[in-house]
Amino acid sequence: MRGVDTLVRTPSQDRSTARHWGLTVFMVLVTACSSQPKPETTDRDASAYAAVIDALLQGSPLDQEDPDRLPVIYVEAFAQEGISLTVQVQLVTAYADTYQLRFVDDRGEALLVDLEKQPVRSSSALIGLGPILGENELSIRGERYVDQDTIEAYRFSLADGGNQTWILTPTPIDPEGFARAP
Amino acid sequence: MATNSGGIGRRLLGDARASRMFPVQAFHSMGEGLFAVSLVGSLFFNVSVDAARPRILLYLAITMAPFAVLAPLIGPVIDKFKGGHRAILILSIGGRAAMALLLATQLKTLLLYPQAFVMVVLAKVYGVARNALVPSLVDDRDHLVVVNSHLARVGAVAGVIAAVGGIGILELGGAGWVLRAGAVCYGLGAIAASRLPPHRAPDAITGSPVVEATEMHGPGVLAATKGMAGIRMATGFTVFHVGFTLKSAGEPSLLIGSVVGMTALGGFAGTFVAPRLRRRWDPQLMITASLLLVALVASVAALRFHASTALALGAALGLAGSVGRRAFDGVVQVEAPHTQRGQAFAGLETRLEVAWVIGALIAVIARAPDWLGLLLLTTGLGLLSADRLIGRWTASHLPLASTRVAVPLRLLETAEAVAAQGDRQQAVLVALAAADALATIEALPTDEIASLRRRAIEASASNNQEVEDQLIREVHELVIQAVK
Repeated sequence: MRGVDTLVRTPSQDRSTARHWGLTVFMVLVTACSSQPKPETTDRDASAYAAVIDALLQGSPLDQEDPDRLPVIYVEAFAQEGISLTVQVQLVTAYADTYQLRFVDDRGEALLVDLEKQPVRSSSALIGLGPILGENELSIRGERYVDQDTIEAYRFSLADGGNQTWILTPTPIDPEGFARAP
Repeated sequence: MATNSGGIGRRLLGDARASRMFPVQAFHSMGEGLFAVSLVGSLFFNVSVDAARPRILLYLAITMAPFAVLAPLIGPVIDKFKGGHRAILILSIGGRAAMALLLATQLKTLLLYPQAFVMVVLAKVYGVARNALVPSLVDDRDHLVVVNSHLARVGAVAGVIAAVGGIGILELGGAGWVLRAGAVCYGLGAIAASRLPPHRAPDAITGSPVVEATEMHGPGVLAATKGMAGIRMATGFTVFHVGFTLKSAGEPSLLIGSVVGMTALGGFAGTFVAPRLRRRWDPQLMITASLLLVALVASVAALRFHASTALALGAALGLAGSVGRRAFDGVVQVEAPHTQRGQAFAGLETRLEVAWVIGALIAVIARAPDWLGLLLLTTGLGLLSADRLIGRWTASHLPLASTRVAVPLRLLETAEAVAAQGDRQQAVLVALAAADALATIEALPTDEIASLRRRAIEASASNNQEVEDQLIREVHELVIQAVK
């Protein structure tokens, strides 16, 4: 239509599409630029963390209020950078038949904060995992929180036992992870 | 002339052609309800929000990309291809059925994220296509608001029923089976979409892009679009902000689901509240009131974020969205009476859906504490409401006649400008649209409009510029008389 565009102000389809694409490309660049761990690292990390979680839960079975529901294990990462999404997913999948693993950003998700001593929610456990240190022999801080006065803390040394298994040597230490404010 | 039983039937079911959308909407909403319930058993609640945020951001952003490409195509496909409207609906609903089946086995894997967002994109394509299609299925444009209300009610009831059933399936069989049930519902919706009546092709006036551009970019429609975009942005923001906040507070997923349920309930209530409000208020004021309602409830929730305030906020958003939508349809009905092309409505709906995504992006990027996010929401909606109220106050000082005849006046101005550019055929169409719009306000004799149309067709056929100019002058006189 000759001249109509100059007579009737119409938002340009091209300008609108360009805005969408511009915003999309910007967001994709921003989010995709975050570094992703290599697959072999995530496998190693997941198996190491699983070994620590098993060790912390061993000997202290959870009370299951509802036998039809899996017990919930809350996991808090002590490291600033947290535990990568890929490792979290691998751990959730690994425990899918035995526990409901839930990773938390805020300790309050796992605790009954209105009660004295702030115990863990019923039928649940709260595990804290530190960053993985070392290359051949790994070192991980692991803590289990029961309430404000009852925290078990260990420094786990993990030696490669072959076939993605680990030989763990726990050393009791002072609780630091859960002793710090969330 | 419609008989009394026809009137009752229309009141209950809407137009016969449009009523065939009801099973489509019902099955689609059932699938939506089941999809929402299945997410309870997905990875979303197992992983930490901080770890998942980059991925959520990425896929929200990617949601906009196919949408930016697809949405502008929806309208032309509806308008130009026979059965195009059916094809779009079948593809979007059928696509969701296929994705639901795929997702059923991958709820606890990283593929959850891209697949869930494909579902989101397809849902938005469906929403755009449905809202672009409905005006052309309505026999009488005066029933557009009624039909859309019926569709909203059908959708809300079907969604809630399915969600309740979905909770039972979740307990018995797990989230995978909930999704499979959802896939069945989507599949039935696609079959129902294949039985929609043919799309009514626009006539010369309703198919005129100049008439459409003039009406759809009038100040009333633009103001209503801005208001609705505010409501949609608030909805997208609140879904993610409140969802993350409740999860961080350790609230059970049942509460998050209940907030979603309250939104649906609020939307259902809105279909009854809106007609009653419409008797007292004009549609623009209804949109402003909807914004203010959400702002008020959000401010209370900011002071004390709790399960009860979260539920109230969900209900307020649903109510505001529903009332705002009915009001928006009313504005379009009055101020764009000749707009019928799918392309025009698809463009409108796309902007509203993008507003939702932007709101969601803001919530995910900001990751603000509960009170701060809600305070920002309150402030944003408050400012938008104030802007609208100031504009309303300014407009109230204009002479009544000039606001009443704003649409015909604008169409007339465009007609004369187009004629000055040399396109008299298009100018006559626009002038006829002005006369048509004037006839509904001034109760012009129908034979006068019919005479104008007949002479316009004759002039166009014989390419008689003198007659075309005369027609435009006559419409000019009619509109100027109405302004005085």
